[in-house]
Amino acid sequence: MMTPEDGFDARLRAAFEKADAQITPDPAFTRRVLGRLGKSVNPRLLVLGSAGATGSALASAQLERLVDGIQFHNAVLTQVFDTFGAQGIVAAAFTLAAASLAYALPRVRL
Amino acid sequence: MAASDLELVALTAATGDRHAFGQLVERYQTLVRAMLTRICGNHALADDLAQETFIKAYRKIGSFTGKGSFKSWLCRIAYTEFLQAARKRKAAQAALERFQAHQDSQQPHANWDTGDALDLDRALGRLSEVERNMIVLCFSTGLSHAEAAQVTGLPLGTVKSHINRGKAKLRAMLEDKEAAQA
Repeated sequence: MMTPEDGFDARLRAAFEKADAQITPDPAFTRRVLGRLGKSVNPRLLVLGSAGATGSALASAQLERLVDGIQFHNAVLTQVFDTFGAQGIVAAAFTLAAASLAYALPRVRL
Repeated sequence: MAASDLELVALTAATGDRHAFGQLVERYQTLVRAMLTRICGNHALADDLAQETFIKAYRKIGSFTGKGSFKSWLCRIAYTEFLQAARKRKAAQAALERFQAHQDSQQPHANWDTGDALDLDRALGRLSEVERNMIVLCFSTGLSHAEAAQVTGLPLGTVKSHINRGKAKLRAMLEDKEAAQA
């Protein structure tokens, strides 16, 4: 048997249903949300990226001296070294490392 | 056959699949937008908060354990978004509420029973904020009292008290209205 309380609940629920029916599914809303997912930049990623870049710059300054002292016994490596020099090789290595980091970071959930 | 919420959540959490998440957005956007609209009383703000809700849900989807329903988990994020926005806008909100209270006092009693959204919002506007929120969570969003308690972090008994008080006020408004019409 329905009590007056149940009846009022049903009436209230019906009032909400009728009012909420005016809010219809909006495909543009879904597109806006999905569009923003790719653009969201986590501040922690920016901080980590900046710290990584600073560390890489400092390390590369030191590595240049280290690489300069290496004696290559392989003819190809010797020629590469002579062509590009220590600075060029270190720069290339760190560019590769930075590119790998830039590729991997957006896929990491922090 | 449409994928279940849990399947879509698992796919999104495992691979970041936006298409799967898009299906969840399509499935729950009206519920979240309606809930926030009734709580905020402002469509534009509600839509902004609903967007933030889904973006946060996407970022945190790995933390959904599947213990409760995805709906109540999403409502919790939406409610937190609302509270944060309300804190930020507290001063402006207070001014707005004073303005709305003045406007309401100039208008006839709400006839929310007709289902007109504006009248329902006016009637809800006469409840305290927490009563309004609880009524919306249970009657618009369809959460159980226990789920509403989880979403808001309030004790179950407190949620029930707020709902009973809110309902009593709404019932009194309706009875006043009917008496005036008789």
